[in-house]
Amino acid sequence: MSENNNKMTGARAIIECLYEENVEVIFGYPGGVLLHIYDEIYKSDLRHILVRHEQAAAHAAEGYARATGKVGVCLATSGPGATNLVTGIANAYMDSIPMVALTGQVPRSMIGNDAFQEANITGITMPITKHNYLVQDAKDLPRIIKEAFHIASTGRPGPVLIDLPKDITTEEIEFSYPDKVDLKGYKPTYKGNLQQVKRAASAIEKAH
Amino acid sequence: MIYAGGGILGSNASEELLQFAEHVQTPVTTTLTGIGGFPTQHPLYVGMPGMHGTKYANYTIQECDLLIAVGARFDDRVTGKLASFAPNAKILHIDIDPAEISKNIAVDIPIVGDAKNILASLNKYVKPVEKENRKEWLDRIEGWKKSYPLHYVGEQDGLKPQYIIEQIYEACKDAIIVTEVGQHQMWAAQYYKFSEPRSFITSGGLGTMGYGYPASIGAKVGKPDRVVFNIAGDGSFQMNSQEIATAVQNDIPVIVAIMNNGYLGMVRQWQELFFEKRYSHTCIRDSVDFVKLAEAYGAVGIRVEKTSEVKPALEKAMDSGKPVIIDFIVECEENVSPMVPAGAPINEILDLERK
Repeated sequence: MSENNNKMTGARAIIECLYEENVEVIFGYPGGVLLHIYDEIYKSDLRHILVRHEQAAAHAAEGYARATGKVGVCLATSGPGATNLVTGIANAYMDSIPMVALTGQVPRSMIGNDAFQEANITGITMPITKHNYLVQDAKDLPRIIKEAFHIASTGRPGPVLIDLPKDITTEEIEFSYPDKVDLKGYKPTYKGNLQQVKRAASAIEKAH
Repeated sequence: MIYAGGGILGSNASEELLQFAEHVQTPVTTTLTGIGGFPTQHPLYVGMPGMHGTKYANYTIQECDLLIAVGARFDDRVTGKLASFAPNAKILHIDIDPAEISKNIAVDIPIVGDAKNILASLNKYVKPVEKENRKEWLDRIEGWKKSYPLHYVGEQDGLKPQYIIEQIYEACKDAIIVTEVGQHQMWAAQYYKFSEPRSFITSGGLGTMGYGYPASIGAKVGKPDRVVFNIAGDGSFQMNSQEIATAVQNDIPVIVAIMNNGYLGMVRQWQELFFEKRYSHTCIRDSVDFVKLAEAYGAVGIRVEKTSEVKPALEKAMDSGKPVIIDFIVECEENVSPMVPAGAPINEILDLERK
């Protein structure tokens, strides 16, 4: 895509972000607050597998991740759609499987009002996600989605949830996808400490 | 010995693990979520540890002098009574998550980092061990393998779920095996032979009934060229059986093999062993006709009641190219064996096979 004049809605930007992350398939179930996202899915090449219960979307995303080594992606609407993902998210958390769960949320102005199909899914999933986000500004979408895939797939893998208020999906933004992620306080250790490796080597040599 | 968990798969470290095990001539056990991370037919492999592990894996852990944990988290289903776990061993723990170090068990030598990376460095820094220099230890383990193999009593009294798993292996040796949660899950872990990583997909830590069918759909979408089996129980499968519609609509030809014993079998097993057979709310016999259920959704339904029908049913399922549900009517009170009762040391492992 060209760098200039990349104006698009939040819903479109979400699809572009998924392309940027080389997502080939998502498992999901539509609903009221997801209408704009589903309209963009309809217009896109993204493969979407329609499940019959959101729990299955989460488990299918996990099965996909475990079979391929890629990040599994699931999508569910606000309220019951989101809470139906909970078992699948908890499962992925317990077994350290990389997953990004996208949930619809009621519009920002209605959050906290007990709106129709509202559930505090970031609160509910706090202890069963590696990290989660409630998107407050459509401009943050590319950064948040980039970070979510990074967090899900690096270090000890795990599920990351992104809660997407409906009005975020209609807001227009200038789209550009960040090249890299820089998160203070999240730098997983990959290389073992050499002293420890040598101590281990010596213990291994002494073992019978 | 090496105790390898799901982290081996998470870090794609199977090759390095194999090299390391051969480099130091050390036996390997893989946890439920680590299965496939080491070839299960390799002479150094001792099977799964813990509650429904092999006796020889548990004896090896209890007798070893150095336990090398890689990407594993000392789950209670692995360790049994923690205070008695690996009593003679120094613990070396390799994990990418520093929070895992000494969480459940005091670690003598921690290494925080990526399993692939660290196993590669160990392969560099550790002097290779000749087979002869490990002979005494490996011979002892070989003796346990011969004396205490996984086994079940054959076919004379009905269809055995373990036999079906063996036949699934014979029908397709490189399938992706997905499971639900319960007895069938343990039988799949015990009796299918895995040579490739990412070939065994199961709900480990959370133990989610209803996981397997949707997970198998996801696995087949990701790996359309592999044969994908969901090995299920009649209880678990009913938790997400509506997903037959997903498989049919999207043309995802997963084969479901239901080990239908008419019980919530794992709970029934505990009721038999620890509650004098008071089968409180675990009998679910005749809940549904799974063949008709499959057909109602437009999938293929097959019922198997005899040992002689197993092979032809598997062949028919694999040839169909469609979503298939096979309803295997199995021996209803078969137990998962061996078993360490919850909270016991893992060497106190019982044989439970039905005569």
